[in-house]
Amino acid sequence: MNFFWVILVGGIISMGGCSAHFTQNEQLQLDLSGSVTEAPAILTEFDFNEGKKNSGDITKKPGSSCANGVCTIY
Amino acid sequence: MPPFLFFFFLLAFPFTSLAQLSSFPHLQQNIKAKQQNIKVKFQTNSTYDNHIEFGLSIDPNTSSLSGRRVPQIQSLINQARIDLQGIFPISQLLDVKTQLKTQLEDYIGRDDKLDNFNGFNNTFSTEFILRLSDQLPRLRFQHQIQRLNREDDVYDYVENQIGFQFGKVFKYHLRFRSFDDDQTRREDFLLVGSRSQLGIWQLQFGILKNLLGRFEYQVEHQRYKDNLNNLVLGIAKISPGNLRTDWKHLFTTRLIQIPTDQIIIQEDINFFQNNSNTSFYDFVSFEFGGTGFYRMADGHWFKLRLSALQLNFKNRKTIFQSQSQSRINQQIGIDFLMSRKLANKFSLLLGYQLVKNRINEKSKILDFLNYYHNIISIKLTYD
Repeated sequence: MNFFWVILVGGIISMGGCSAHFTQNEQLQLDLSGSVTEAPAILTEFDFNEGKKNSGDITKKPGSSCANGVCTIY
Repeated sequence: MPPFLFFFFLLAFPFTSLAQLSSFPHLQQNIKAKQQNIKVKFQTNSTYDNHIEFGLSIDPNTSSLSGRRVPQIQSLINQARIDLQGIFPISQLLDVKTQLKTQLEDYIGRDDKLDNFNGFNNTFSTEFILRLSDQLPRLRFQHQIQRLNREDDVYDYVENQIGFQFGKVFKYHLRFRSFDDDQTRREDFLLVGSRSQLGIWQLQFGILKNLLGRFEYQVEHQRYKDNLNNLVLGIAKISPGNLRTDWKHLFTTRLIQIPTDQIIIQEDINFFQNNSNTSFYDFVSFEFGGTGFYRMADGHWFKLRLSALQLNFKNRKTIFQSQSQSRINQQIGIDFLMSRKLANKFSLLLGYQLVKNRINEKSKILDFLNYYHNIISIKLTYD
């Protein structure tokens, strides 16, 4: 069953014209046809600020750790 | 470590680093070719927070806030920080990066209730950066030691972390947190020692010319020590000799649109799950967010994020409603950030964050979990 999925996903990627490369900001990028190959400069600035957020992980948000004087029961 | 000694090391660091290199003339030649780089950064940060003592879903059985008329404690937190960073090329392939951050934290709260949190937070890290090829991301091997020293000794700990990273594709770290006093029984898991291993994978998709997708998966294994009081151990149903162990999984999907070279719009969906060996700490959260980013000039931009989150504790039952109903928290949040370059080296960051939390409990004693959390921050950086 796993082998089937590997073949299926691999087939979709190769038939869809996908290629992979590393971007300047060190991401592994899968390119679909006609997609952007290099990230514009604005994305670097956006990522720089985004990296300090912890969206998704509620235990690391402001107001939920002892580091800010808060002790929650997570 | 006494503060004066720490500042001595802080000031001596760039000179001792250079002095060590002077014994190796060949190394110095290489370094000149790649240029060593030493940076100093100063930062001050003032934060008003109206909800300092607790965050989300403190358990009513263990919180001293339950039933109080005004459970929120307002505070002003002032932080001053110095960052020293040096990058020293060893060869064409290998660099060493060292970083020292020292931060003074001062809490101002009503009736001096938060003075116990005043203290120093110091971090020293060493990173070996290997670039095997221009086409491949860098490999980083890192060690970091962090010391938190507050007025109240209960918070004092040392954290050691080792890790490696392959660009932004994969990251791993192993972290040990040891409190100075690991014998006294504590009131919270965040006040006992822990060991954690974290792995992060990230993949980016180029979908259209101005459309990117990102998928990220994080898995963390965390084990806590057991010097906790009987109340916490009883609620958590941890029997003597057993330790709490958690597996955390976070799946994040982001869609990033770049309509012009000044605007970014991002939508994100996050699913977070905590599986613990004690079911009291099992929970899941779903979060949806939308972010707008507008860049006016270099260092001059603003960002607005709106988010909605639901947090379900499947094994914490509501008190007065049907016993089959689990506790659910719902949040909506606004996060605004604005950056402005004041002069060549000075920049200003203003932030405002509002979180509204609601809980599916009707009990008066739990009313403190229906709250508004406001955070306003001003950060000034000299870089």
